[in-house]
Amino acid sequence: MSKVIGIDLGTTNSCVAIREGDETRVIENSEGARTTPSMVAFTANGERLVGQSAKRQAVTNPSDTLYAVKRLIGRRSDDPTVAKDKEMVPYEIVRGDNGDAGCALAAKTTRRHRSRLSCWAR
Amino acid sequence: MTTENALHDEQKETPIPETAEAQTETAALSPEARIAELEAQVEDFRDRWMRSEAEMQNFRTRAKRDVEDARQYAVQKFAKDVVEAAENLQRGVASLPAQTEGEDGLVSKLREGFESTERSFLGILERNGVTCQHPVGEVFDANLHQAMAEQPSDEHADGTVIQAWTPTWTLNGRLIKPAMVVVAKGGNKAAE
Repeated sequence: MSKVIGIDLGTTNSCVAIREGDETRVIENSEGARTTPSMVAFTANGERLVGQSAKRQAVTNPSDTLYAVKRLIGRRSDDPTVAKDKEMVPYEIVRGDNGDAGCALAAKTTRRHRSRLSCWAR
Repeated sequence: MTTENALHDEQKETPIPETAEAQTETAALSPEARIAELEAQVEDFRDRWMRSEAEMQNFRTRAKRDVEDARQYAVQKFAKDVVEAAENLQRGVASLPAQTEGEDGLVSKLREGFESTERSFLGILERNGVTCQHPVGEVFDANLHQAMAEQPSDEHADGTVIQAWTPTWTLNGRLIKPAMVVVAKGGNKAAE
């Protein structure tokens, strides 16, 4: 029997639920919280942090802590919303190879696709 | 209402011609084809049975884990609230005037009382799986600490916790309240 998983990929928080029989159950994260911050961070030593831990170290690593990347999904780098975001966020928003808005990371010096970043947020 | 009735009627009626058709089909099949059909059916049932067996096993494992988690972390919310009182008590002890010779007996007794209350409170928490840890001097760990600020330090390497506003609290190994810390960055030590 196939299972149904629902993911609420929020701008700030994400939540995953599973359909079990005739009821839906929200899956808790390792800390027992039902929602997880939609954040991904790349530390100087190459570690990838996701969720709560990414949020906790945001102060120490602002340029490589990505949040609210959902706002960039499906937008071109010359989009006025992206221009506004560029002024607001501490990480760098750049033009991707195909003209889409992407994020540049200092820690890894690679560009990553923002939709993939959103996947890591859980 | 009429549409619904019509739908119901349709649903009731449709199976009859289908069954009849299926029966004629079965009758028309050669024994070999019938065997193949049944074998396919057996295979299908076998597959479904194995899946449901595996599902059952998963379910048992998960149920066991859920019960274990519920037992271990049932008091998580309560513990998170209670440790706030412990933190306040610690702050209270810390704010008492430092011990001096010839100080008022009342202050000594007050300090003693405060300290023993704190000790016993922390003991009670520990007996119930809640542990407190002071991270000053450790390397900043985002899994346990919440960075509140960065500060240049001449004595500590970058990324070291130089000040903790609150300690780390865990319940049976699970973090319930991260320590709020100040992390060293860009001091003389880092330049060396």
